[in-house]
Order: sequence, then structure tokens, then C-alpha cells
Amino acid sequence: MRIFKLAGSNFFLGWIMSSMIYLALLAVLFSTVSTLSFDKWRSATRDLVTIHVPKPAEIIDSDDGVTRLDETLKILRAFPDIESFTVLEKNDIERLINPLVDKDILKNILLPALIEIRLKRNNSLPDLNNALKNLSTDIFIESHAELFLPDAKAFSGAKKLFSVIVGLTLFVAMISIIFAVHAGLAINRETIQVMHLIGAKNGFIARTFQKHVLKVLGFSSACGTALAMGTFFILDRLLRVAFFGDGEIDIFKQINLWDWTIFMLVPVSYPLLGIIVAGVSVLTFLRKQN
Amino acid sequence: MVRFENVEIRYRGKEAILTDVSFDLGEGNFHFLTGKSGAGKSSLLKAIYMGIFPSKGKIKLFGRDISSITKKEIPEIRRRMGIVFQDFRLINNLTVRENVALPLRIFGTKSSIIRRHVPELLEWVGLGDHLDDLPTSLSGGQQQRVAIARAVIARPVLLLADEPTGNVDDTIADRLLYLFKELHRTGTNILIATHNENLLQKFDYPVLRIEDRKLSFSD
Repeated sequence: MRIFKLAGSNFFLGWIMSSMIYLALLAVLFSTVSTLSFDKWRSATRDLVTIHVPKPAEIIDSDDGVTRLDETLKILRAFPDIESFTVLEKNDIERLINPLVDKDILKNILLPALIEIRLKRNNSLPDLNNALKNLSTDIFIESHAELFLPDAKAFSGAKKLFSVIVGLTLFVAMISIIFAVHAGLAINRETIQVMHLIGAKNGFIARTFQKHVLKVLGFSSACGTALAMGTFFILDRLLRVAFFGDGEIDIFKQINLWDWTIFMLVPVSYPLLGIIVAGVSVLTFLRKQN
Repeated sequence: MVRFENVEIRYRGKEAILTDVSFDLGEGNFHFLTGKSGAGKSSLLKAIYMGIFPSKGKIKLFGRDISSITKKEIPEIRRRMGIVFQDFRLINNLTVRENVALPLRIFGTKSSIIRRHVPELLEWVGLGDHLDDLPTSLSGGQQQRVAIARAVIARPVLLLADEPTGNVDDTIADRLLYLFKELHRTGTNILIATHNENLLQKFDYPVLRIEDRKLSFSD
């Protein structure tokens, strides 16, 4: 039984709640996916370094015909804290540089040899650096963890931004509920007066408002969630096509059950909080009136 | 049931509407409350259902001094009363059935009981064919009968009616009074405020008369 005239607030509250849940879910989803990707990237690059060996074919021991590259590899094989290393093929290097430079330039420049090394412990890097510098001061080591540092800071900032977005959407949602409730109380002032004369307690009136708010928020929460999932699904497909071409990237597969549980807390917690806020607003308003 | 002891009723910053009012309405009674328009009939009824409080004197309701009743207790006390207003005060977005069921819903009565009693009562007041109509589609007399049904559905001990025949013609007014008479026979105590002298003459019940802010009683 709809005791109060609250239809006017349905559209307003429903639209606001759907939008806020949609935005909050996108923020949470993006935050989770980017955290997962970031963690993966970070763990992959933590102990990864690339050694640039300029003039790799240069003979440094004319008796044995040992090249600079050979000597470098000898040092690496002897170094105890190296888990594995791979010498990048010239073709691979050229393929990486090709999009950035004119093709003719590649014929004229002498590319360094690139050796990708995975260390057992990152703190052995200075020792490796010393050993290679003894061979040649031109050789330098590029630590992927250090390259990653500015991105890590940017990522941390983005994560905070996502949190702010979620906080803002929650704030807007709750303010909207308070507004809608107050509007409803004003419109139904006479009905509330009659109900008080019949013997209704403020709690009954508050519960009636809460039931209405629950219906509206429940529906709009479902709509906002469906829209967010749809958006994420489309974005997932687009990203795969746009950026990962022939690579196998499945963002959804990275998200585990615990992450999904946290996502679902958003469309559940917003209506629950909304009901609490509605009840408190009604009781506060009626107490002031009395 | 209702006792007034030297009660003065005054709205803030204004002259007293009623002064030194004393009376005692015992159990099982039917009274009229009469006086000219603006004499203070509605204010007296309002004081009984605690819409306003006396500036002087004491009001006892169901044996309790209303000054000792806390705000939380007021709804519970009001549940023992039924109130009928001159302007009906029906909720227009609820059907006749829903309007009459409202007190029972507020009191937490089971739906099965509501579904049984509400149509019975509406049949009794002659509105059995209008269960699902909205109040705005009813005549004044019909609306007042809905208001009466709503006021008595929860079997109140005391029924207060403020000019219940004010918005209806004499024929309907008579019918409504017969309805009140029937209610009284079932044990409800009734106090009707009215300035309709015809009704006072037609229905022989004790009268509380307000004149010059004072109350007098006649059997």
C-alpha cells in the first residue's frame, strides 16, 4: 500500500543512484584491473635488467678473437646471482625500433647488443655493474624497476583518484536521498499529520519511507550495475582488439572471486546505506517538527 | 475516561479560548459538545487528543494526567481514540479500503484480519460497493462514512467527532448520527462537537455547551 505520494522522487532518485553506482563500479573495476595489471608488471620487472653492450662485435682480444659480447657473456655466466639471461636477436631489436625511426637509418647505425637478464636478487645489481664496467665503461645496465618508478607514482595517484570518485559518488547519492526524503516529507505533510492522529509512531513513518527508498534504490542499483558490467565488457573487447592484437589478454580472467565480492559490495552497500540515511532523515525531521 | 479540571486553553500570545473548564466524561457515554462557531469546540477536542496542551489546569485521559504522558507515549494513547474531522482528512491516493485499513496497518494487525474486517465494516456503513474507489469520487456523506469507518475500525474506546455533519446535508447528517448511535450501542464512548441545533433536539443526549469561554453541562 503506497501511503505517501512519492512518485515524483522516483525518477530523480533512480536516475541519480543508477548514475552514481555506474560511476562507482567503473572506478572500482578500473582500480582493481589496473592494480592487478600493475602488480603483474611490477613483479615481472622487479628483478629484470637489460644490459646495453655497444659495439658488440668489436674484438677485444685479438689472439683469441674474443668479441666484447663474448666477454660480456662470460662475465654473466660466471656471475652467481643471475637466474637467466637472453641475448636479444638483432631482428627483434630492429622490430622494436622500426616504428620509431626511418628504415634506412637502421642500415647505417650500429645497434648495441641487448641482453635481458633476470637476477636472483635485485641488490646484486651494483656488483654486476662493477664487473661489467671493468670490462668496458660503455656497457650500461638499465634496471626495469627504476624505469617503472615514474609509472608507479602515476599509478598510485590514479588509484587515489578512483577512491575519491567512489567517495564522491557515495556522497552525492546520500545527499540525493536526503533531498528526496525531505521533499517527500514536505509533500506528504498532511498525510503524516493524519497518521500521527491515528496513532502512528515516527518509526512507522520512517519505515514506510525506507521501504519506498529500498524499492527505488534496488531497481536503480541493478540498472547501474548492469550498465557498468556492459561497459566493462565492451571496453575489455575494445582493448583486446586495439592494443593486444595477437596477444592473449583476458582482463576478466585476472579478477578472482574475492575481487568480484568487493565489486558487488558497491551495488549492495549503496542501497543499504541509503535506507539508513532515509530512516535517520525522516526521524530527525519528525522529531524537530514535534 | 476524560476529566477536565479547571482547564484553560490559550494559543500562544492570544486570549484564552476556554477558561476554568471542568467536566467528567465517564464510561459508556454519548455527549454533544456545542457552541457558536469559534467558541472553542475544536480546541477542546484537540486538547483531548493532545494536539494542544492546556495553559492551566489538568486533563486526565484514561486515568492519566496528560502532562505526565511523554511524547513517545502519545501515539499509544491516541490508538485508544478515534477521531472524525469535519473535512474528513482522508488520504486521497488511497482507496476507500486502504483508508479504512490504515489504522490497522499502523498498529501492525495481520493482513488476514484486515482483509476480513475492513470490507465488513464498510458494508456496515453502507459502502460495501465502493471498496476500491478513491475518496475524491465519493460524495461528502460517503467520505464522512469512510472517515467514521477509519476512526472505528480499531475499536477505539473513545470516539471524537469534530463537526462530522458540517459538510453534508441534513438527511445525510441524520444518517451519520444514527451511525454514531449504533456505534455507541456497541460500547464506544462518543463526544460529538456540533453547532447543529437540529441534531441536538433530534437526538436526546447530554450536551456540553461552550458560551463566553465557559462550559456548562445539561442532561
